[in-house]
Amino acid sequence: MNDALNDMNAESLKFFGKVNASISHELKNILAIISETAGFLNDLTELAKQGKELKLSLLENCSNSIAEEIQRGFTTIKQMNRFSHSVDVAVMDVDLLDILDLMIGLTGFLSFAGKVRIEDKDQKFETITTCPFLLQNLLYRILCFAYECAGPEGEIRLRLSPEKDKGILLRFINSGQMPVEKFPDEKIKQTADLLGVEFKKNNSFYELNMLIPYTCDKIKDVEKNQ
Amino acid sequence: MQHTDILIIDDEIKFADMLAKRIELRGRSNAVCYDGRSALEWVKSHAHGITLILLDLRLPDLYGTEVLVGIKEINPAIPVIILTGHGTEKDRLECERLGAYRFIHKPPKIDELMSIFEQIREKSEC
Repeated sequence: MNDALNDMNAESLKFFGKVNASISHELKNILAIISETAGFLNDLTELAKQGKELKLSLLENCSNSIAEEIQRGFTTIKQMNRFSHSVDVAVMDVDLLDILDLMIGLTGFLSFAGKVRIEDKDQKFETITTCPFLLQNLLYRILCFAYECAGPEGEIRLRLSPEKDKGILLRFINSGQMPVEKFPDEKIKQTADLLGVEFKKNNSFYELNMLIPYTCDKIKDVEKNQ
Repeated sequence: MQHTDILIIDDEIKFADMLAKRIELRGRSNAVCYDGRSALEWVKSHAHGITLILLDLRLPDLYGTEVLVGIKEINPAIPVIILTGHGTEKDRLECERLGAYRFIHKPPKIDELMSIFEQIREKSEC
């Protein structure tokens, strides 16, 4: 497992870089909006100095917009922090819903990301013992594949159900048709194999099913050496 | 057909709308498209009634470079300024090769944008 993990280092670094680049893009977008809004306030001030009427509703809209963007920035930084800390420990107990939530947030920064909805979000599941960074990598890649199939107006529904003593079955139900013959690609397959994730065959072009185990031998090996 | 001074193509709705308001305050007409396909449709139907286009590189449906190529196919004379958050030197060179007029990083300086617009307008009137 350790050798396999070493083989994946370059790929993991690429993934880490890609996510960080998308976060920085998101933060720059936020700052660009705040900058334009501040510029607009300045424009209004200049007009008021020239004796033009200053509409209070415009000022209110601007301050609300700045407050919303600051909140968006805080959320983004929180997500960045959670993602950065996912490499702290190679193996740990994780809540799958938490990881999915983070990956939906992070993939949401991609320009081609569509809507994603987790069904029955209030369900409680047993934690899974896994490598959180690799699981994030896997889910991120699958979400990207699903977005590309769904298109910008499409929607992806995620359905989770426990499989007794085995793990959690995660279903990606896509509003767009997925070329299932192209799935999983080599990188997804390699990552899934390290995590003991099993893809379940089904006859639909609109659904991908995967079983995420509560743990697996390869993960146990890493945990022992931790 | 009514003339449009500046068309903004950007999927960051708040940014595009705010920039549009600032351009409007400076007495210039504008329109906003939030994705590549609708922008190309818009350009097609106003092909000879636009002075300047501001184009983001990251759009939900098409790459900004694809939109740039599409615009140039419709009317190669429309100047297109790339307005990007994270464009690299490689992106700049590619956009210039495809006919972009300028390559500007966000956030733009409104006075600089308006000054470029005025230069283009004066040239087109000559």
